[in-house]
Amino acid sequence: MRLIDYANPTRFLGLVAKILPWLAGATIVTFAVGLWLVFFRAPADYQQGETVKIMYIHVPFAWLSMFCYMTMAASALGTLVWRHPLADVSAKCAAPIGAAFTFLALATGSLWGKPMWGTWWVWDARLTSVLVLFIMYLGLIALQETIEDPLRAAKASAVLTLVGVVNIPIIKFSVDWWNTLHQPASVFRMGGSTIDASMLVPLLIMAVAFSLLFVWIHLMAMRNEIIRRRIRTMRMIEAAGAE
Amino acid sequence: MDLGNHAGFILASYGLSILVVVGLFAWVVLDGRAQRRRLAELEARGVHRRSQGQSQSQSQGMGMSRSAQPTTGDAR
Repeated sequence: MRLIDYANPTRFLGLVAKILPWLAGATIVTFAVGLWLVFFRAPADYQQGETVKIMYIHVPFAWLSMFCYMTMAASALGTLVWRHPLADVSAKCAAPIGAAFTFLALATGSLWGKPMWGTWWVWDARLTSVLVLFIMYLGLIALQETIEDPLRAAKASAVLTLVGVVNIPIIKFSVDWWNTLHQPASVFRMGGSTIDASMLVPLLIMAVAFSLLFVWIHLMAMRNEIIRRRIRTMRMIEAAGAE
Repeated sequence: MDLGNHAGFILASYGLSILVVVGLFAWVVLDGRAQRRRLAELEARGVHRRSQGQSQSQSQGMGMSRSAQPTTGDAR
């Protein structure tokens, strides 16, 4: 079966029904292992002490805030170029999840920054560009909800999503391009990670757990949206039949 | 487990994260239940999507063709 065959929503729903229980199990197990490592195995940082435990949720939230946006960008291409019937559903359902993860990246960063930097917030390039990402998520959600016709809403939000992609490299490289309080990349960088394995392994496991959680919630939300659009179609048929 | 001098910041981070993630998850689950209930109500009233109607027509030998491009609102 080719990937394009899953453009058929009914076939897609069948696949989702099969995948979801396995995805739920994998997410729960990965979180259990990750949290056990974080709270019972990972050492305290020699400078930050136990406050480094915030890193194990802050960093995955930050990564996923960008990954979620790139998922929406890929879906936007699917909407505009290939007119894939599920692409818009994917983009629309990813937006609230991306907004939630971006909010948590900002909030946990702020709660980490206060004891370490001595301030809740600074208007530096990294923090400001992530705040812009959060506002873009909210704008896209508002746009999708404002336009009643799903096709028009899909095209408008796809164009806006693709325009907003320019913010992703700004977020990623802001710590290299500008002087900032935020530390530079320490996991994915030239020359390898600067984090010790005792902290890197729990961090990567937590990142996998949050990624699985994202896919789990995204697929459930897509299933809901497909059913919502079916209901809309059926109500229109019912209304047309009543005239 | 001693979380040190900044335990409040660590617990607030994890607590807020759990609150938001559980809230997001619950919203999606409750929305799913509501959508399935609405779909069941419409089907109980005898409302069907065009594709379902066509499938029924075809099975009754009326031979109506299906649309070439499936959409999320009118899935085959």
